[in-house]
Amino acid sequence: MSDLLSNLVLGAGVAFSWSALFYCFAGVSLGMVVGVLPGVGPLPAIAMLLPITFYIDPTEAIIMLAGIYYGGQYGASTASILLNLPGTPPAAVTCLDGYPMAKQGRAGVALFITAIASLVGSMFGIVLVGTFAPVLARFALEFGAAEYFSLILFALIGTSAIGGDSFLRSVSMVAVGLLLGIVGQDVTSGQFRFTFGIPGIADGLSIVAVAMGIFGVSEVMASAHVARDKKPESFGFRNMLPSRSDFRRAWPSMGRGSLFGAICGILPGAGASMAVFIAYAFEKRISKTPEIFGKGAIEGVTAPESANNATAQTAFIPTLTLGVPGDAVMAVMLGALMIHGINPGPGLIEEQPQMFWGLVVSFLIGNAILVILNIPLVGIWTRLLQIPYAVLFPIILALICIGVYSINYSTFDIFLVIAFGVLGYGMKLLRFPPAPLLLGFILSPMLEENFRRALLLSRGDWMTFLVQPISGVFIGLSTALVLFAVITALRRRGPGRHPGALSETE
Amino acid sequence: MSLKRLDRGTLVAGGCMCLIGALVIHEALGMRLGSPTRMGPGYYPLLIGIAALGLGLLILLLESRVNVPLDATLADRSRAAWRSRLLVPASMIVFALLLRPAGLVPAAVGLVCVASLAAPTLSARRTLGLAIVTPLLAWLIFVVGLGLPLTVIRGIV
Repeated sequence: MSDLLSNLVLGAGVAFSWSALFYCFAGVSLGMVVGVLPGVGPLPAIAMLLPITFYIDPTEAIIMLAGIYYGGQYGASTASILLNLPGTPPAAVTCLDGYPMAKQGRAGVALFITAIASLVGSMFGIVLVGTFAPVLARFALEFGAAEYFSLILFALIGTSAIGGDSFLRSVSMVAVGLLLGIVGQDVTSGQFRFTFGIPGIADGLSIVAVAMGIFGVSEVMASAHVARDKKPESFGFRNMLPSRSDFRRAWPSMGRGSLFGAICGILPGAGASMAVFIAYAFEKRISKTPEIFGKGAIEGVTAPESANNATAQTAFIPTLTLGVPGDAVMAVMLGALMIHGINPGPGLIEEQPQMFWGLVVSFLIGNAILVILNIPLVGIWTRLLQIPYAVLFPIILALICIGVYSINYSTFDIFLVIAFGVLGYGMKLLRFPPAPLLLGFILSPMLEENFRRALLLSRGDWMTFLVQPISGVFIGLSTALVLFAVITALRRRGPGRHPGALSETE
Repeated sequence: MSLKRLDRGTLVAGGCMCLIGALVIHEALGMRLGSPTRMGPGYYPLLIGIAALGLGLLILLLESRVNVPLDATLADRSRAAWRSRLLVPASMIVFALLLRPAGLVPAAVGLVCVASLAAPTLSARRTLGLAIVTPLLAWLIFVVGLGLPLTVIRGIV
């Protein structure tokens, strides 16, 4: 306990410096902005800022990038409640009851209680990061190559089995991502693989180019011409304070939401989208009045909001202590750390205590800033919602181009971003999800390295992945996920029901 | 089972995966494979290539009979949709081509001019505003803020 306190003091020393405070504030504000604006998510924002962070201290860089991520979770709920437009995928669940609340004249109440629910979820998550991460790191010190291989495999299969509607298409994108991750020089033999004699990719594909192309450019290509003239209706904000009965109903749901969120954050591959759906479904199931869900039930807002914020914080646990990110945003975060020469893994907390604890304390500061940004300053965000997309996307494109150019001062990288934008657009057309590709791309070198080493150590015996207990557990879980995905797919294939059934009936 | 009832998008998707798999297998077989104990550079790509090929075949087999409507924005065949599909990459190409010979500001202005053609709702006044704000923002962030050695306008700054 005193250990934790002294660590927090160490972290406070880092996070309360003027420059760290500035980057924390910049990160969470930017996160709010990209969360509020539909069509600009935290992932492209983080990828866009990656080149900028090369010029600042790594701890401050990661504080800022993390701020964009969890700030985005706060911001996304604002657009969901006021416009019925989710800023990020998990926020879609918040629309279900948040927008009806706004229509009933309770927009202020919904925004207020959302900010509180987000704070509760975040705090729960932060406590877990501070207490559970060091324990997990100590446990993970014993992981060998076989364990890492199986864990990465589990993370990759987990994202595919849970996200998206077609398991096969998600796994296909994992495979393509793994292939893109091979491009460049093989570390062991020095041979160039899949470079086709192009000097610009001899060192491998730049993570910034891949992430910005697939998540940023392709999105602009799909929606530049769409006029989003949906203006927020003028909701009154005078009545922001929830009533006592609102609070009585909301508190327990926040606790349950936080718990689901934390579990999904720690499990690699589960992620926020899964957390919010479970949290919402659970609230509806146990509610005495399930019929009011979808018509402005306060628990329908608070439980998913607590869940996605808890996930946003706990997602740092596997990323920092195992070096295995759970979702695409965390994968980019891992990439950012590696660019700065920091290899996240079980040793990170011991070797870089000031970074780890500084980050934990910055989470606390960032969340406090976010509550201030959300409750008294809510008017700013509603005005931001009125900016048309047509004004934003040329600026986004320019920042993407300059950002990617500034890494190597090579025009080739701009063409690479365009190529990945076109690829991302093609993937959208063929309904291939982009997140598994990015995760595969970033984890590919690690997967190959551990694969080679594990088989070298076992002298070519493939059973090593099953015989080692921890590795065997992950392989078992992966197999279970595949079976689960196959069974759900087969069930959906019944007469007249198929993966697209939902969108067709709309 | 007539061909009409097969989903064209899925056929293309499965076909693409098969093609990628086949190409990767071909490339990987050109490298040294080695043994599981001592893997050469081709071993891991070969396995993933086989997986990609297998996944492509599975998509063709299992999913092509399901006819799934496309997302409305993507299925849009109007001229406006095509303009944004083509002009967005084109605007970035303009930027890339202008950046070195002309400098940051002309490149950003060129990007805005081409990109704004993709948005029919953008008024002339707003386009002009964007053509001023975008280079200014770029200059402030990257040249003033981060101090990157970029040519702002070739021959002047």
